[in-house]
Amino acid sequence: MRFCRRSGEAPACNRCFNNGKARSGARTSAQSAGSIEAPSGLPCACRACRLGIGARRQRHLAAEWALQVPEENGGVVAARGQRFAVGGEVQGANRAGAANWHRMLASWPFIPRGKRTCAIHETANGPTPGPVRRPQRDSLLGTSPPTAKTLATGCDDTTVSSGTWSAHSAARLALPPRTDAEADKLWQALGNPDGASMEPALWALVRAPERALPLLKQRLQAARSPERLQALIGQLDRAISRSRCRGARI
Amino acid sequence: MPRRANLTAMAHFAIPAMRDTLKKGVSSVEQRRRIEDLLARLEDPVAIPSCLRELRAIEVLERIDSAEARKIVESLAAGDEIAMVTREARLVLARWEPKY
Repeated sequence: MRFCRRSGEAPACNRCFNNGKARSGARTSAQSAGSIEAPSGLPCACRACRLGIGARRQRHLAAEWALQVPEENGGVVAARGQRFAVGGEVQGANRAGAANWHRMLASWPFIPRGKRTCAIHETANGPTPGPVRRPQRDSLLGTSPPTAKTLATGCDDTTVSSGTWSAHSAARLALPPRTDAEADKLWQALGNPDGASMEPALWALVRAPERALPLLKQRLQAARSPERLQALIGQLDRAISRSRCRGARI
Repeated sequence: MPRRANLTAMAHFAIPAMRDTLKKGVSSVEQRRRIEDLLARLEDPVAIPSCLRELRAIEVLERIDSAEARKIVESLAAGDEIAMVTREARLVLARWEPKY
């Protein structure tokens, strides 16, 4: 059991456990966006931490995140609207899975205080674009919103950290398109179900906004509900009814 | 099969509309079976490369984060709320809002 360094009460959060100082740079290799208290978790008892956690909870709500901290070595549930990710111990390793549109998810082997890298998965299909430094020693699982811009991790001290995930170096080294034809190829590559193959295309477009923006402006259209949708749904049984009628006549 | 193809192309709108239809009641067992079959296929994001492409394209815009990129995202956010693209664009706008 950990005790707050300030009040002496338990349980203490990581900040108190580290003598009241957040471990700068240890939270994530990418830019850190702060940490938040999990709704069902126990906050650190000290007033300073409570205030700090309260402020971070506001950010948490603004970001539409809801995270439940895992039990030690157990599972975690991260929910955001109807999207959710789940993790648990499977065959001696912490495995994570996600549903719906969480595009990226982080997971790491069940080796407490061992390796400090975790794998980033494209949740739609499972390939791993690249490793990332494990944010905190006690982190169990991380997940992110669909754009993979934010990475959140749950810890056994009931805090959740979030940070900005940037692509691994191979993807960032992708060559930007020099012609419109090359940009068009990258556009096609964005639809690749294999996340690892797609990642360089995404970063190549990001690195060439002068070609990417006109292309995306042209290809992306605001969605409008088609009027004939209900008619099409209604017709789903007609085709087979007609063929049955024909069959009955024969 | 053209009706199925059309509905697949309109996956964004078709999923909630088909769920509504199932709730309200269908005219035949055959229609229910087909709707359930289509729903099972459409709810897997990998089954719709166009959806994946659009969501990733919005991510490109989010990472470019320029005035022109914002204009494109704002225009997408003005679309029909049912569509995944619209919801994603709105989330990007929310993330761009200064929170801290």
